Amino acid sequence: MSINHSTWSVILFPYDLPPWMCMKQSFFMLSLLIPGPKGPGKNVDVYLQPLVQELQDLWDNGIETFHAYKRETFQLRAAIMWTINDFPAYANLSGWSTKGQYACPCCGIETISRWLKHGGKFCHMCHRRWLAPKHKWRLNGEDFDGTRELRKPPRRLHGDSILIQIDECLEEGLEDGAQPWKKKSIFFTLAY
Amino acid sequence: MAHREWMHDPTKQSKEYIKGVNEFLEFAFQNSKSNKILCPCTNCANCLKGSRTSVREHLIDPRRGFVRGYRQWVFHGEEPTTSSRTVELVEMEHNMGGLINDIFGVHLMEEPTLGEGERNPQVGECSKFYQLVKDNEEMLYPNCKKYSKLSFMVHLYHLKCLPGWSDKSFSMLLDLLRDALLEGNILPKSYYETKKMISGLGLGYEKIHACPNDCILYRDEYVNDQVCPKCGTSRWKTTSEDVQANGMETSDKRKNLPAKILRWFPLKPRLQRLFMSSEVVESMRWHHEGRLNDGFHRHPVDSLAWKEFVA
Repeated sequence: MSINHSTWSVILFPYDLPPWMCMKQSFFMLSLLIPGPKGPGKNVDVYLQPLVQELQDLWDNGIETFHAYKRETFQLRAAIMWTINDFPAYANLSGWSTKGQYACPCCGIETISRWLKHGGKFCHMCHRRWLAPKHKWRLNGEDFDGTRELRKPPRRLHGDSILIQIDECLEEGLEDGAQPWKKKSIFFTLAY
Repeated sequence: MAHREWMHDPTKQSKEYIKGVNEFLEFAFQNSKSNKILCPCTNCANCLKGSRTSVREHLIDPRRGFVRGYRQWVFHGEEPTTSSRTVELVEMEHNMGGLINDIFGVHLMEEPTLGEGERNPQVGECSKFYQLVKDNEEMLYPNCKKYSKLSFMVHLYHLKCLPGWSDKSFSMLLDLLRDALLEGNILPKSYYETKKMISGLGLGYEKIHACPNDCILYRDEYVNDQVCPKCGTSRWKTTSEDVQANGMETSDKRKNLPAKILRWFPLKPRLQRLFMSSEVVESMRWHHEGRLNDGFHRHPVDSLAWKEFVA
């Protein structure tokens, strides 16, 4: 199928609704229509600006709203909980590149990868690190890439350390010159 | 239906519990044709059948009891109440008067206690509102009982949008309908008029011009710029002749056409509308009222972060 035009949409779901209504089409809230001809790629932040500004305001100040059930006004506030997207779009939204040498967003900068010379692509063989420390597959080199896996799983990063990592990475890049963080995502401007 | 608190008795020996079990058996065998029912204990879990005595034994066994969360005895003849609500939703369309009231918060004006705060609709809003009310009261043609002008147009517009009729075909259909319906009907003359009428219902979108190379949006400090400050591309559609003639500017002969338009559907009025609609707001309270709160994590609502946010 040849695609020569791509329009992106941003859709919001109100999680206050009960589960059987929340994901129904009549309760989708279309928020942005980003026109083509090409998808926005990592510049999607530019288009998210109006939405994020509104979300900031809804978090900080809220908005006075009439409640039809209690029949009174109240201060409505809102927060974004998570984004639902596919893996390539994950890179566009978060700024962490999901392809190439550092493709794994769980391992982060500790991702281990190997360049396949004749296949011409990267492969990632470090998944045995996540197994339990005494798991029998860790010592079983034969069925995997011929090595024994003795490393612990990568460290879990907290919000602050991720922010520091992004700043450092955007300034200098990693030691080997790679640049897995492509940008500082616009979602970091939210208060939470 | 009561909330059946007794089903949570950990000892399975209290008076209320045993009374409840007896009631349950009574109820289940009333609705059952055979002398065996599905046993709702934790082991059988409504999969295995048992006689009256065996079910009773299972239920008052301290190690078994009712399977968790079986508040509505749907396997024993009780009608499920909550999940059938989706069906009702489909049928809430015809009530246009209620719809208009919800949108403009008319109940506010009826209640003087709430005062003359900023929530009172502006003058422009008012005229829009009265226009809609008028459209809703006007009959489609003399003695039409079923449709008002507004409700008919809303339905027709819906039909246009779902399969994607073209604007022109819609106008042509309007022409035909105007011709075919009884004398004195008041159908709008064209698609344009219909759109104007429908847009009174609110929830439109804003167009924001964007740089064709995704650099900036022409808003805030860039509102009046003609050229993208980052990449220098023109804000308007240009042809190669334009560029040769006068640089980045478009020629004055044509009206300026923006090169890229972002459509932004503001979120706030939509959230407000959710709460203002008397039909939806009941469902919005379901997490608070409709489900059991037993400390198990079934939905993000049960998470600490959500609770903190609500508080």
